[in-house]
Amino acid sequence: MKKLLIIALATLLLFACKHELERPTWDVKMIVPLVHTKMTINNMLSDTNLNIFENPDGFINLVYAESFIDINLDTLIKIDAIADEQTHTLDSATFADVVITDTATIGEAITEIPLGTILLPDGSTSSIPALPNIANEDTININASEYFKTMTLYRGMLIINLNNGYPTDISNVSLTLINATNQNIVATFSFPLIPSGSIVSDSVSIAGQTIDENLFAILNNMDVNASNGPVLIDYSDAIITTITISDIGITEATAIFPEQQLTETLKEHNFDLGSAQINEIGIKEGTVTINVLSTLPNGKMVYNIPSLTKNGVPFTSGDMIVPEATNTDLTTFTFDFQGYVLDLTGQEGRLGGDTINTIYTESYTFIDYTGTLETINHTDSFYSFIEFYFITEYAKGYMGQDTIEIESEENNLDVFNNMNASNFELKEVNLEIKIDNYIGADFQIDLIELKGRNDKTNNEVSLINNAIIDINRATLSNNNLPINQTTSDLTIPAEEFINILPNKVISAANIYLNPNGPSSTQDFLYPEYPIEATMSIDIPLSLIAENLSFMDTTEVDLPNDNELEIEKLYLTINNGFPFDAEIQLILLDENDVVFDTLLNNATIIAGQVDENNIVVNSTPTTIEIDYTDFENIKKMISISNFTTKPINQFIDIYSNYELEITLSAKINKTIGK
Amino acid sequence: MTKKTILLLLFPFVLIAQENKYEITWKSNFLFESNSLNKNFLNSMLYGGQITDDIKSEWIASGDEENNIINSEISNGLSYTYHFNKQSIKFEFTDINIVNSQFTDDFLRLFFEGNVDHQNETLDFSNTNIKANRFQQYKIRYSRTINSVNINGGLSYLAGNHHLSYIINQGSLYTAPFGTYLNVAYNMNAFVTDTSNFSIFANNGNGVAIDFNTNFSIQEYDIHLSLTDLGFIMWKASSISLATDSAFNFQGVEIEDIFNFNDSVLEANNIIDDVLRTNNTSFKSYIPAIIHLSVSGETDYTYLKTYTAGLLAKWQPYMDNKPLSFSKINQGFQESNFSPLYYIHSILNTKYCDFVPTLSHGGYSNDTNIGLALSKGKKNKLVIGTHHLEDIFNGEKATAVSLYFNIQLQF
Repeated sequence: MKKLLIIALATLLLFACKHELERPTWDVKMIVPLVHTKMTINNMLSDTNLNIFENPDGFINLVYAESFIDINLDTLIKIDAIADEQTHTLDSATFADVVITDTATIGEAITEIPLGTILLPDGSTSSIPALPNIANEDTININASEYFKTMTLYRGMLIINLNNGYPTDISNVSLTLINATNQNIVATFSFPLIPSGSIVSDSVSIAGQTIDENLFAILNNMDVNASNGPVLIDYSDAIITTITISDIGITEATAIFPEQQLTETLKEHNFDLGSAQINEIGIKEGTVTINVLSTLPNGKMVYNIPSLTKNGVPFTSGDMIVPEATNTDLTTFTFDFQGYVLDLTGQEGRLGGDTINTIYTESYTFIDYTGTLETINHTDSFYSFIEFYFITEYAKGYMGQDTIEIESEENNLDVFNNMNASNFELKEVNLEIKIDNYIGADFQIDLIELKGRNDKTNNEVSLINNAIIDINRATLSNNNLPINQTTSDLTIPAEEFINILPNKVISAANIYLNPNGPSSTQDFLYPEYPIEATMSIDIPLSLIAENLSFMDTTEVDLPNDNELEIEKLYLTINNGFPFDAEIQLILLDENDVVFDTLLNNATIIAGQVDENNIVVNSTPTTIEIDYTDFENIKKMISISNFTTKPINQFIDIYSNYELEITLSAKINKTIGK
Repeated sequence: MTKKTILLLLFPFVLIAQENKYEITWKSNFLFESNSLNKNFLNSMLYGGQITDDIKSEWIASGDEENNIINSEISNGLSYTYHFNKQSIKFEFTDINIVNSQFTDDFLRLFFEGNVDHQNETLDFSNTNIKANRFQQYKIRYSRTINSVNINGGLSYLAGNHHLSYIINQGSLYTAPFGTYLNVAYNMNAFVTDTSNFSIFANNGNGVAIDFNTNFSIQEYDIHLSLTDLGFIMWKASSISLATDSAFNFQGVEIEDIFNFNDSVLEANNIIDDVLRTNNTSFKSYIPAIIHLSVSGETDYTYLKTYTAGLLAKWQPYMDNKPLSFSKINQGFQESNFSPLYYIHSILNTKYCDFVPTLSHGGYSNDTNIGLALSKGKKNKLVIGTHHLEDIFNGEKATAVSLYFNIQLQF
């Protein structure tokens, strides 16, 4: 028990004063680099539209280039979309003749005579006696179902031909055609005498009549005249009756229509291209859209453009089966024009020879064979509307003569926008106007004026007044791409122009197309290859700058870590450029209200130069920045003032000059919190 | 490993109990020892509070050594011994937690102060290592006495729970003026067991260890020679390891526009991720092995009947990076962070209890330490003691704290 008590007491002593475990805290001060960059003149000017070139020594040339004349090629070749609208009604359609033939042999006639086959056997030679009234109200069934079921005509002729193949004459033939269904008489024909071996014919208008598929031809009377002596009795000799319905104009018809063409439209379309005379257009991309509305139950259309070819094959739509319209919606057929060549010389072999600016089209409408009964009437029609859309790949011909006036216009020159200087001089500046012509036509540009202006100082420098630049035509390689462009240029000294730090360029020009009229060489135009007119300013970076100031506003998103307390920022700059700089950084909030001034004219010392004013050593400068809470900072205005050193001497800038910048931070952090 | 020391120190008491067949022993041991950092440091780390600049300066300035060593051990064990015919078999279970680290003053400067005050200077944190081990040891030991020579050997199974080690062989940080750049050089190995399971008895590795002891007499002196806990734990393949040897110059994130950088730019250039490329692999770590040599004798003094003089050394290489050789043996001694410990102790018998005073020098510090244990009882015995009696009176400036507790029941 005593031992247990000792153990218990010892245990109690061990754990009675047990302290809760907790984490200690302490402050740590770190200094770490955050970001680092090396900026050459290339980096500094990367967000400008200046091109930077360096010679083998690394000497920098700045080139500012901008297109300054925009020639709208649409003004040269105005090829509007072509639209072709046609209506084809059934009353303008022609239908094929309906021809029905009936054959009545002499053998059949002899069979009906009592003892006829005995008295007049086939193959015998006998005298045929007069047989009056051999036909009396005989009915012949004429089946026209092969052609139609019923047909109401507003126009048509019923023609009957009787070919007397008997060896004797027939006379007093009277024939009546009757519709089988309503027994209406369609026509009546009379032939007093039809000599043996002759054909007689008669016709009657059946306009307004309705013809059924089954007709009765009632032979009211036919007399067989006595033969002139014995004749050969050949039972196959026959009287052939041919009934033809021609010049059919249908008011309404129900039939199994065979395929038949309804209309044919051959047409030339002419474009107004002003004085341009184009005979060939290459189509880069495009479509022909044929919109058709047909009330026919079995309409079909074919559309051809013989002057539109691809690899020598003319364009054809092929058969376009047009479903019967149930409303006013058009059925659309679209065909790709890509890669086609449009011949604008008109129909091949046209009267008067080839023309220009003209295309030739053919359209055909059909009733299509469907194998089923269809009912059509004269109000049925085809309506077609054809749209052409194409993007020209090229045009060849003669572009005509034209004058394009480019009125005086101001273009912004933003490269110097944020710059000011109390003294700024460049040793040498050239302004070059360069025109690359990719069009197969001659031009002349009259540069009426070209001048620069600084709106802040109202300084203005004129560079050009009425300078004429002749531009020769480009040529093709074997009448195809590539284009051999021509280049024309004009170089003007422009130190004064740049020294005013212009923010506007004012220019006016007239451009003359084919000023000397047609050339012996065919003109051409590839819209993708226009005239490229550029104005470039070549600035060798040899300068004197005094208080050359740049101002820039940058949107910033600076790190803001609540866990770290940044006490100071250090901006360490190793300046390898031969100019002093004063930097001011102003912080703005989201409302562009000044929040704080981060740096106020902090000075960065110029790099150390030798006797040739070439930087030989960078000069370090460290700027301490009291830390600001960046949470509400959205923008930063940086104002940099540069003064070249030594002053009043031209300083050359080389590509190896660099500004090495390190941003480091002194950070306090409490560990353990 | 101090518990092993205690065990050995108390070996004579164990021998007294040999006429009893069975023995059950409970041992607990707590040790914090440093060659420079004091109790104030331990208290701050364990119990929180603000570490002021003065405290930091004091810590960094404390101790004579450039390298600071901290060793902390907490172990609790229960053993059962069966004696028979001058032989014995012992079964022992011990739960062991060891944290051992060594770092330079510069490391402390960087850790506690940062580098602001060390611009244009190089902070050297070479030979910095932090090792933490938690495992259970299941040991069986057989002992036999032949002609007054006692020989015993043991075999342990080690159930590894957690391991963490950061070993920086070479490391330095140079901070340029205004922090414009940092030069960092490092040769580092790190091993951490599976971090997805922090259960205190998680099985993240298995290992073995062996013991060899002998006790014999030469003339009137008893000699003890032992090698204890020579073993290792093989940690599982789910462990994280890192081996990196590099030097780089960091000037910040490279950007093109000084006014256009933000958090995402910084995150996209996370250099830490580039440096700390880890992989999952199995690895081996050693537990500290103890080599012990002691000589015991007797005197005629009533209150000083016995004395023992001994030498303790520890062997624990960081990594299994070379085959066993003299070089490897030497590496293990150096990397244990433990200097040879020389001690002498005696037993003073009194009416109420026995006093076991110890005088030692070496170990994890270069101090001379006074230890004292109180022992009550013979057959059933309670022992409570400390290895650092003098530090009890040093208050917050004490560089070591230790307490051990031992209950032994014989029947």
